[in-house]
Order: sequence, then C-alpha cells, then structure tokens
Amino acid sequence: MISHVVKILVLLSAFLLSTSILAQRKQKLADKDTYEWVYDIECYGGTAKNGFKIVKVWSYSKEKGVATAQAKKNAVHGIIFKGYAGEGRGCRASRPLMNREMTEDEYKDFFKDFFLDDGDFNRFVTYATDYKGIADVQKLVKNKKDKKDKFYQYKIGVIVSVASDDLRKHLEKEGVINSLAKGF
Amino acid sequence: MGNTNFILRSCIFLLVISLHGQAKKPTLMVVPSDAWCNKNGYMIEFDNQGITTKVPDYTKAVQENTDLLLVISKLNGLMAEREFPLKNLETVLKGLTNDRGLNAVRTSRDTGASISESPVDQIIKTARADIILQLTWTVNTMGPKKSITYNLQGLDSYTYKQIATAVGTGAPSFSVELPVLLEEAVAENMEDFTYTLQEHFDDMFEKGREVTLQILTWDDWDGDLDELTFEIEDWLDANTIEGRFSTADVTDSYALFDQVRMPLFNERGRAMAARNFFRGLSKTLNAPPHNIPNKLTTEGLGKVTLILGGK
Repeated sequence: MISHVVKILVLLSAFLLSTSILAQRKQKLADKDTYEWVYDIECYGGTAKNGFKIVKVWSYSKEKGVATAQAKKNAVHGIIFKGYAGEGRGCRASRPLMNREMTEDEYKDFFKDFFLDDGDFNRFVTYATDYKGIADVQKLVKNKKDKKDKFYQYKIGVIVSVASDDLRKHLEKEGVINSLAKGF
Repeated sequence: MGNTNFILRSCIFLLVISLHGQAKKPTLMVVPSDAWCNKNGYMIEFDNQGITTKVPDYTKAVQENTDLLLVISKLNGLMAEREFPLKNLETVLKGLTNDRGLNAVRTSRDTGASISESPVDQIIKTARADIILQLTWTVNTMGPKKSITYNLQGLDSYTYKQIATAVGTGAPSFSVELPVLLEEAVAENMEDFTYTLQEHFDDMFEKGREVTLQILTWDDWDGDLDELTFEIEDWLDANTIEGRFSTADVTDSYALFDQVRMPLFNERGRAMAARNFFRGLSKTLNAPPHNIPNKLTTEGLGKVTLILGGK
C-alpha cells in the first residue's frame, strides 16, 4: 500500500517537474524572441497622456498565455530599441529611446537584469484594457506538403501603456542611454 | 566596420569627457518667429535711413499673448526635465530693461563718471542665446474643425544653421480649446526636437564646436589682408580639428572663415569657447614677424571678430 502511494507521489512529482520545465522552456523561448526582436509593435492611438505611449504589441507563441504575458516585455523592449511608425488614429512616429550603439555584452547584461520576469521593466508598463489587454488572437498555420494547414503558433495582439518618459529618465540615470545634457 | 568606428568614437568621447570634465554648455531660448509676430501684429516699424523696416516686438508679444506664454512655459518645462533649462524670453527682456535703467543712473563715487557703453555694447545687449528655438504655429480651420501646425526650429546663432527641428500638424478636433491643442503639439513634437538636438551635440563632441571667425580692418591699417589670409588659413589648419574650416569670403579689408571646428578643450583640459580658441591667433598676429596689433571681440560661445590694425 505504502509503496503504491510512493509510486503515485513520484509520478506526480515527475509530472509537475516536467510541466514546470516545459513552462520554463516556453518562457525562455519567449524571452529569446524578445531578445532577438521577434515581435511587432505599433502605435495604438494618440490619446495617451503626456509621458505615456499606448502601443499594440504582437507576440508569437504556441501558448496564448505565454504570448500575452510576454507582451509587456516586448512593449518596453520595443519602446527602447525599435520605435514605431506613425499612422491613423492621430499616431505620430516614435523613435527608439536607445540613442547610442550598444555592444553585444552590454545588451546581454542589460537584458538579463532589466527584463527578468520580476525585473525593473514592470515599473513602466501596464495592460491598457481588460482581460490582460488581449485585443486580437490569430492562429498561424504552416502549409504542409500534403496541402493541409497545420497549426503553428498564436499571434497575439495586446494593448499596453508604457510610461515612456519615466522609462527614459530611468535609463538615463542608469547610464544605458545618453541624456541630452551629457558632456556639458 | 561602421560599428567599430562608432564604438571607437564613443570611447574617445567618454575618455575626453572623463579627462576634461564638462564642455561649455550652450544657452537656449525660445523666441517667436518673425512670421508669427507679423501675423499676430507684434511688429514695430521704424525708419532705417529712409527705408521702413519692421522688427518683431517681443516685449509686446509676451505681455499680451497668453498662448505664447503657455507654449514657452511648456517648452521650458520639458527642456528643464531633460537637464537643459532654457533662458526665459520674458525674464531676459525684463532683465535687460532693468540693467539699462540701473546703468543709466550709476556714477562713480570718486569722479562722478558714468558707465561707459559703446554703440556696439548697446547692440550686443539684446535678448540672445547660443541656440535660438524659433517658434511658429498656425491655427488651421476647416469648417468646425481646428488643428495646429507647429514648427520649432533650433538655430545656431553663430553659424546661422538650423541644427534641430520639429514640425507637424496635429489631429483636427471639433471641441478642444486652442491652449490644449497647443500644449499637445509641444509635447508631441518634443521627442523629434530633442532627438535632432542630441544629434547636433553628438556631432559637436565628435568633430568639435562649429564656430565663425570674422576678420575686419580699421580703415587706417595699411596691411594686405588678402595675403595675410593664407597665413591665417595655415594657423586654422594646424589648430582646428582635422583641419576643418572654410574660407567663405576674402577681400582687402574683410575675411570670413566659417564651419571652423574648434576643440572643446585646450591642452590643459580647460573647456574653451571661441574667444579662448582664437586668442592664440590674435597673439600670433600680434607677435613677430607679423606685428599686427588687433582687437578681439566675441559674441557668445561661437563667434569672434578680429579687427586688425589696433586695439
């Protein structure tokens, strides 16, 4: 009887461990996508208050939850490194905050600390709408040789608000980007 | 290769900053453009030797136009936030008036002499800054809709170049009041403006400050300026960064050298303005074999006039 319980416990532990490892792997993949700039960012209306930017971020993952959670990181990464073009809805183009060339090592170090799941980036971003800001869910498919479409991954659009002025000030203070008065 | 160069330049810049401290910081001031003043009726007409000339009346503009004050205040606030506080036009104008009044009544206790002020002093003592932020906006009306076209130009007072810019037309609105539209226009365009201004500063740290040298002659000087300019060019070639300068005009009595790229620091690591830099040229001309006494006058950080033939 006891050995039976032990067996079940071992199996349960193994299952939980593998689930946790799988979740960590998915998160790592999502972080890798952010690191490698695999996401899209666009302006979502010029109605944000001064010092804030409302953006729609498209993240990619096989799991909706991972892509949704990654949207905040992608939005902050996008404001720092990518910027976006202006279009309709009174949107103006936004330049990336990064105003100098980063070395690969600098980028790695910065990314490692600032973009931890509980890292500083969280201070500058919030979901802009209900249900974690999800605005659009698209299923991406791969066309196989047998002409049958096969589910590949989700493309999830999430609307978030980024406190871009505070983010800029923080990065200037940390010496990550150059301030206007640097050198004077 | 490009990246390597950039990183190398950034390292040199950081090294220069760490060794020398801080460069001379240019002053900035927001001023409404002549076009805006003209359109809004803030011009003064005066008779300039028979020709009627119009000049902007900044004092009247800041006393009467609250929208202008709002825009200047917003711009000042946003620039101060970026550790670059601006000179405030209204305060500068008041300061000048106060100084003029005080200087008119100052007398020496010993001799009763009054303050010496040449006509040149009077011209120089106007509202000035190293970089003028020239501001223009127009209200566009289409039926019941209103929008703002906003234009902010950063102009170098010495090279006359436009070094920063932000232009744009905001989204049309039915109901929003003009001050709100203006405030939005300033905030929305600030990013573009500071970005282009930053590019100008980066260029300055990399290639040196761009300044202008004007050579004039007293009418009793009998030297040959045309010939002397070759010697001046040699001095500029040896002392400017990578020999960067242009000889714009040369006549027997006048020469102008622009796009002169001077180092930001001297060999002792002291921050320099144009007057410190061209003092070397003034001394060279004053010494043998040239023996040309000269007078060095300066305008802000970036313009020097050398007058040859005496002090």
